[in-house]
Amino acid sequence: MEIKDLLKSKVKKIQDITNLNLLRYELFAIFATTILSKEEFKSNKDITNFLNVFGITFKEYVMKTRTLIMAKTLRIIEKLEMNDLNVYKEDLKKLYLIESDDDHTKNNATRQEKNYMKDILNKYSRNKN
Amino acid sequence: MSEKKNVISFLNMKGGVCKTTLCKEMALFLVKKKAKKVLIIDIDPQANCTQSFFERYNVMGISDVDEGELIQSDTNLPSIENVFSKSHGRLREVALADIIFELDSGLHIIPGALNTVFMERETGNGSAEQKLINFIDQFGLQDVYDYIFIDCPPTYSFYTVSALLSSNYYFVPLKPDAYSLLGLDLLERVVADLKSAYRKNFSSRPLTSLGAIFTLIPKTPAKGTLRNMNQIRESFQEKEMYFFENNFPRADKLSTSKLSTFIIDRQDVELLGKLTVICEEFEERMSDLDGD
Repeated sequence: MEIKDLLKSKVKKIQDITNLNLLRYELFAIFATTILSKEEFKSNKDITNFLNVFGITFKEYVMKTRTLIMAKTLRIIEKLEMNDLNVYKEDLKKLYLIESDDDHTKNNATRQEKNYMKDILNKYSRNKN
Repeated sequence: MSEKKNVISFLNMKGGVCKTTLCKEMALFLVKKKAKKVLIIDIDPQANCTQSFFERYNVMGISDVDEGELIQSDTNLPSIENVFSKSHGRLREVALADIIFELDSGLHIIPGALNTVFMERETGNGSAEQKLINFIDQFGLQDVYDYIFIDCPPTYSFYTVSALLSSNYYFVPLKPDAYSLLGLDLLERVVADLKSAYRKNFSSRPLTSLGAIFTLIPKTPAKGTLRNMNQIRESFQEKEMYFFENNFPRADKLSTSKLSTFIIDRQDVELLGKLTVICEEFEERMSDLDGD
């Protein structure tokens, strides 16, 4: 599974979590995986935008080392209350699910424009003239 | 010939789409809950509809060997065979009692043949296919009953032709998959062919589509199921096929329980509710078409 797909499925799964510690635990995994992934972010500069979504900014020296970025982000998550965790959850959803849902609906739309049943009927219908 | 238009064939060229289930459940419901008088004609050689009703009304007696004498011999029972058999060439000689079995006051059945595989007796001249409509006509059955339901086999055969020649309407149960879609298409073709082959019969007795109804729909249908239903509806839009708004649900208990247990015998409110709205839509549709 590609990292992107893995993240999508994880983000989807946490949407139903209401338990504080469980949600925090999952967010640790998601943020660590995302930040360390070379697939997601080729250079550290790209991580800045990602963190901005959550209102997180670090000093320049931090942004030079992924290990530091990850560690400091996890510390932030560790200290968050339920309300804030929920905001993170929502933001992740927007980032991974809604955006990708757009792609998805685009695909679906093109797929649905084609009526498979109609195609089959046209192909095999015995009521053609 | 009767003015009443109340003979309905339950038909699809595809098997396993709940033709028999829908036929027997609707019949019993209309009799028991709506005080209608219904005749069921089981023209399907599998005779499953007959078996269900015989079980419910305990027609064959107790199948306990020690009490053997209680078992009704099936050879004495009325049967559809007697409508078609050659020895009764002239219908006037056929007694109603040889053909129609009264399950209770409002519910009668022309049973399928249980002891033999009843086959087409006369071929070639096509007169055998008209025996059922002749029988219905001569005994004025359309005026006796509110509805006459014909449970058909999933084939294009002598039975189907007999059924359609006798029907005012045909009603198509349909699973939301591609095979059933093609079954519906094939059926439309069969009806068109029949109408041209028996032009005379159908001009005096037009055959109209009552509509299609989706069956075996799960409680929470998968996205694909819903999509298929929409696509099938769209595909037949140009052909002005009417689709019932209510669906017949998928319920494992319907296939796992005893033949004798019908939906109205159950405590399942939801299932009964579904059957109720289907029957109501059916009756509405019947009166709408009658008004045309």
